[in-house]
Amino acid sequence: MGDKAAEKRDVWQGTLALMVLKTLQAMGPLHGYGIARRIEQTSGDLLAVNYGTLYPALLKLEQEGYISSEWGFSDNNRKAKYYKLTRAGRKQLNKEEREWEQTTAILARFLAPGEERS
Amino acid sequence: MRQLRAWLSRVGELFGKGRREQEFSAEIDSHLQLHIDDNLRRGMSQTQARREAIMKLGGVEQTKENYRERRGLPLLEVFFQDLRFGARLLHKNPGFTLVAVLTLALGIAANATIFSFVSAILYQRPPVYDSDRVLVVYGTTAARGPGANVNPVSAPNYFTWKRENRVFSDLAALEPYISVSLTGKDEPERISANRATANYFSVIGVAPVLGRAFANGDDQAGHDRVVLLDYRFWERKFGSDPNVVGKTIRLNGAEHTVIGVLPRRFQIMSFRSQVWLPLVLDESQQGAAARQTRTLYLFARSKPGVTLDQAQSDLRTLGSLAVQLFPDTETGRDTSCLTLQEYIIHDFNANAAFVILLSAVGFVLLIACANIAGLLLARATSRGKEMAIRIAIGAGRARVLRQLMTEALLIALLGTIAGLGLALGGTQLLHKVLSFNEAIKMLDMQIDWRVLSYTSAIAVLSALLFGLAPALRAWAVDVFPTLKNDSTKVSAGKKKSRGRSLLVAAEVAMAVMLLTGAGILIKGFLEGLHRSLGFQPQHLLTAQITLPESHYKEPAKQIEFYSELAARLEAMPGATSAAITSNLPAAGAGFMSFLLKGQENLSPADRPRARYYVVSAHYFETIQASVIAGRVFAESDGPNSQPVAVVTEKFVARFFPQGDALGKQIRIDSSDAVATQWRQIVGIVHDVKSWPLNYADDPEVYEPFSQHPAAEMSVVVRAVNDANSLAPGLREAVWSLDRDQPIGSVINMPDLLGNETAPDLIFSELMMVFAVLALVLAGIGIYGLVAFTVGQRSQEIGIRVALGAEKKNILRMVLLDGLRLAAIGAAIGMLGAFPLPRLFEAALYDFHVLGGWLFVIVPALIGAVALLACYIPARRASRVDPMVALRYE
Repeated sequence: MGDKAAEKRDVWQGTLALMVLKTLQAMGPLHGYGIARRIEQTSGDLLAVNYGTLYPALLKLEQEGYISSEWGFSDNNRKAKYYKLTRAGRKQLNKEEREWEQTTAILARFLAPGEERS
Repeated sequence: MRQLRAWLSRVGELFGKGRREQEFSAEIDSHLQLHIDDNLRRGMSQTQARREAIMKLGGVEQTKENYRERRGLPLLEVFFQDLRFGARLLHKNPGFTLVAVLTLALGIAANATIFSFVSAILYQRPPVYDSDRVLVVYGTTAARGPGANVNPVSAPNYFTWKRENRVFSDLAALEPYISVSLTGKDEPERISANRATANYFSVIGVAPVLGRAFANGDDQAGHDRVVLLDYRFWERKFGSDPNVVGKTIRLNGAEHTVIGVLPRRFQIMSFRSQVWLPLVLDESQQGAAARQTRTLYLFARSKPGVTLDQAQSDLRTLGSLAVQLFPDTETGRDTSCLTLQEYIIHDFNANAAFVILLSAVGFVLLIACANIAGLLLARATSRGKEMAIRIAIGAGRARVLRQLMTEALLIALLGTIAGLGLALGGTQLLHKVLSFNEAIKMLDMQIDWRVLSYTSAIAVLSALLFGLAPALRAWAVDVFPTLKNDSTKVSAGKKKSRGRSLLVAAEVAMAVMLLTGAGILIKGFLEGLHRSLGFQPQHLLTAQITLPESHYKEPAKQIEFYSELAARLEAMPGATSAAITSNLPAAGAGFMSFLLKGQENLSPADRPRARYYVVSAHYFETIQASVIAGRVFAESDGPNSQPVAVVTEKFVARFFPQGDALGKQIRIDSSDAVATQWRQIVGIVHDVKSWPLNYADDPEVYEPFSQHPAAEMSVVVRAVNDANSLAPGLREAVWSLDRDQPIGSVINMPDLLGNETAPDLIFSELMMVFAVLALVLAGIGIYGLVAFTVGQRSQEIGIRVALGAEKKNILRMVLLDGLRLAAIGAAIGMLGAFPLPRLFEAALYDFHVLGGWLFVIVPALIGAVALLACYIPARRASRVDPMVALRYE
């Protein structure tokens, strides 16, 4: 059981990083809860993962220098830690987006119905 | 790059942990607050909103733990955390810590000490230049046994091989173990000397500290009056005089010029001598006699790039060539070579002893590990609840395992430090005990990086071994029953105590094997020692005398000197009789081949061999060897009378199975024309041991001194009382005959025998020490485990007593439980020990001893120790007060 969970989390962590970067690009500086909400809304009910798993991913991105953080205040005046993309983060996002598109394009070709390869 | 950056920032995060922890707490709080705000806006109640937020987060603590794993370097942090926790535990249980660390320290110290000795011998670098290229060339024969296959070489072969080989840049010859008389400086003295060809020091690459080494031409007849001094000899005789070069000393009656002093640590194999002289060889001597005089040790420097294999195959070719050209003298002989370092190890011939010693200390360490495992296991049982709680609140089993292993490593670390401290003393002690041996005295025995790495390796291995049992146990912890059950359980049940039972049995088995092995070796030593020598060593004084050729070249003069000396010695007050002999009894006389009448056409290699002595008339009377049949030598056996010989019982049994030796003719092979004549066997004497520890006698043959005189002889004098009191008289007697005659080592027979038996004695004593150590450790281990089991069962015992069990029933129950395990272990140990006598016989030269009564005594001894170790806790168990035991908890 532990093994399966770990496997699932690895996949999640990989794509999660990309989603976080994309979210920050689209929304500008945002706190952890906001990022989690945004990802959940965008993905619909498909991503029913605990919000808590977001934080190690944020920490990893920060360690790698793709995002930075500082404390600020939310709309309704709550103290919160805001994350934003760094320049390296933007570059990394572009790169990962391209890679992702490539991967999905290849996969799409494989999975396209009725197209037998000769 | 990114990974490096991430890693660096993780290292940075190791610091300021408290602040980061707080900050993350705040972040989670704010996250929850934002979420709750949202939920409230959606119309949930306060409680509901909070609950939903926490659920959605996936638990506050779990999130924090996941976050921590990503932050900093969790592996390292966890390690330090475990280390701190382990240290705290050890600190809180000083008794446990002391026993565990001391036990391990003893095991480690024994291993480190023995290993430092073995590694000092195996890895010593010979004191020569570029030692990998220095080879020792030797002759081999089909004979078996240690040393037998590494023989010195004859001068004709030396010259041929030096000329014909294609693998050496040079080949030098050394003739060791000769002695010369030093006169004209204080008292006349017999000093040891080596003779070497002029190229010897350039071949091995050693330069003197003062003056020069031998140079070309020094080994030409007429130019050889030069001498190199050993460092210690230079200190002793010349008071380290820096201007000694150019001075002369009188050796064998001729003046020799000192040309240099050799380095202090210069010694190769056992060839240490006080002076070095040029070796003058005559290449024109190519006869059978010259071919049979095999006294040279050859040293070669191989050409660059030549491998040992190539050198050996080249020598094989040369060896077989010699056989083709000189079948009479070379048949059955071959030649080979080894690097100097390998040769020294081969020469030491102690590999079997090393393996035995290392195995013995290995067993001691294993027993120590079993003890510690027992202690840890006992503690693990009482810590079962702690482990269950840890697992329940989120620690992975791997995490718990890691913590237990860290604790084991901590014990190993402390044990190793203490053990190395003990080993420092151990190596010094061992070195001191072994320093009767010149070669060992020269060894550098210390705790070097080799010993340190070996010790660290076995320490880690030990930690894995003794950490394994409690770790496995923690792995198998059932969280719920352990937490629920508390410890109100009555007794542990079979499964729980299986680990402990296994340990007890294993300890007993190992102790039995070690004890039996040590017992066999000690028994062999004692049997060898106590087997009758065949003569009476008490009250015998011995001395070595070598007459200088300059004055005593003629046999008649030698006979005159020694006969007169024997007469004067016998006339000394306090002496009963005296004799002259070529070799002292039990001092390893050499073998000589001989012929029986009627077998003259046997080739030299096929001829029978016996140990060979030349003795004067009163020899057998002086050493008190008993005569079985016929007569021994008398004054009437003169140079011109019928040649005679005396043989031993073993000689008769071997060569005259019918027992009809008396009156038969034999001819002893010798390069000496005087001796090679048929002689009649006139007497049979009792066997005399050829070495003090021999298990079997060798055939021996004796010739009368008057019929085969020699310049180099030994003297034996029997005293009425104290042999040493005759020493001044002995010296006076010699000097009254010849003022300039040196006397070599005057020593009484028991001391001489003691020197011979010392190495075996020390080997046996070492084994004894390790065996006793093993026994004590095993005893402590059994005691600890049984005592713990009794403690665990005190409630069960209380119930038994409450239900009417008598004290003696309880006592018997606990005793039998312990003894049954000991019996199983002993049986396994006996099985393991059973092949030991044959193993030793194969590994050790001239050793055949049966286990015999050891197979009864050792298990009995172990049984007694186990009984004692079980009795103490058993008695405690029998005194359990049911009221106390049941109320407890």
